[in-house]
Amino acid sequence: MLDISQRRYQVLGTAWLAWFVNYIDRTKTAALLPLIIASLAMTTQQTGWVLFAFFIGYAAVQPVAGFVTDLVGPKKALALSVGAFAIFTWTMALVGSWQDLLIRNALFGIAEGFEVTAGSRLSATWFPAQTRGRAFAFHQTAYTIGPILAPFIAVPIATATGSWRWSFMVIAFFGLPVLAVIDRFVVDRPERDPRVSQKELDYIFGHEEATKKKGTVLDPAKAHVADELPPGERITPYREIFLNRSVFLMFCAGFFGLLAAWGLTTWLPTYGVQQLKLPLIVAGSLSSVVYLGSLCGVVSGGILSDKLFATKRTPIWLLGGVIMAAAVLWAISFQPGTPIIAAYIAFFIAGFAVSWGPVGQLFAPYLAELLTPGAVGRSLGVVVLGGMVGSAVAQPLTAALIVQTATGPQYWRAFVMFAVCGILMSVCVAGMIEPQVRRTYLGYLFSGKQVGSWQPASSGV
Amino acid sequence: MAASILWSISILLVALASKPLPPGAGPANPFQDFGLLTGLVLALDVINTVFVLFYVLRIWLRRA
Repeated sequence: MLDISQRRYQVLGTAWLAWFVNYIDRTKTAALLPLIIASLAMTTQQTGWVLFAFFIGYAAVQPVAGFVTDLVGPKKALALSVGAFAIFTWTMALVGSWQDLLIRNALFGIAEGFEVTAGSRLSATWFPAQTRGRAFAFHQTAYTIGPILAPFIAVPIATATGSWRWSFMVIAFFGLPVLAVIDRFVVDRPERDPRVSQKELDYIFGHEEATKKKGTVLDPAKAHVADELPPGERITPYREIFLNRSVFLMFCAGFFGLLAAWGLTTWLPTYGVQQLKLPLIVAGSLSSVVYLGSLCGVVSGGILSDKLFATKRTPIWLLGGVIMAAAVLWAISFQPGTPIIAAYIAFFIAGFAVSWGPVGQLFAPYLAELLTPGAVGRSLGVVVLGGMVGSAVAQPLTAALIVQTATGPQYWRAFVMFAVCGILMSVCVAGMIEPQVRRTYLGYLFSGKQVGSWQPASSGV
Repeated sequence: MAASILWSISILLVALASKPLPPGAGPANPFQDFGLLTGLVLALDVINTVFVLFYVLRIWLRRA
């Protein structure tokens, strides 16, 4: 039975809440997009650029966000992010043109960008390796539940009040309780929390590590000997973080994975209205189905990684891209009159599989185990940068790939691109080191499950 | 008189030529869209910002 008096669950719950509100806030724009397009008389290309602005702002800030998180601690970074995006949300209710929306969407993206590194680092620091996959899977359920609910919050407010702007006004207030909870429950590291018990510290770090290691150097790149570091950390120089083959491949896999994921989910309500001729609320629910699939994907992926694959992370990611490609290729055949249940099934599978990617889930546990929990912020900054550049490119690229026909817009070329991205994501993952077997996972399987010779660069081997 | 009739016709033509906005879309001008509730909107914005600044400063200025 889960004991919520344990501090690690309170910290994880708070990180989850912040991530949940972050996703409600960002996906409400996609849900309201058909209304915003009509209100501001935007063309498809202008819409693509407005969406691009959010993702390029989010991407540009990632390396900075990673460093800030590791420098000032995840609590302050989290509070800064939530506070900033709460303010930028209401400013977006006052836009009068697409250029105005583009600028504010970029600033909103910058504000939201600080959240992921902070929340991920908290999860990686507060949980031991044996439960880190499931803990982080729980954290990642927020990015699936938030978007499922967003259309059912944002669209009814807009239709009831007669304006999409009121949805922005109401959702801007969601950040306030999150800030109060961060203030109350979050502490950067377990051993620095006066409310944590010795028993819980023993559980998180192991008895010997928790009692003997008392180092105060928080940056694993600046320590000279292991004893300078707090429990659970090892020396990890900058070259090991930034000149790392697996981190680079994760960056590339993130680019392809999020290009497909965000290209699909952002444009899906518009696709539903324009190509499938569905009512707005039904079209919006297509995105919700993708996120429902992602919810099942992150939960099952975390459990399978911890239990079935014995804390190996990359096997889950290998499967994700291929399955997603197959589901999206099936969806190419959908036209007006296609049974809605077929669309729901295809997009559920696509959402399930796309969450089995290196920027969908397990990325914080993987980086904590490949490097060290104290380097998760900046290494994740690099990885999410790749993902967010993919997300940013996805918006105008998808817009450019929509074919205008006599019967209305057709999205098949965009869907082919998403499928190719899924395959490329799996190819990148195939080259990444699986720390638990000290080689790539495919190398491990093809060698008859022989453990390899890979060692962290700082281990001296 | 003729000018006002022409103006009315031109407005009518523009109104007929443009598609009606779907429910929830509203006009492009935010102040026209919010109408009489513009003052309430601005008050809510100020309240939101004050609370955000309170919490962010409280968290940032507290010693670890």
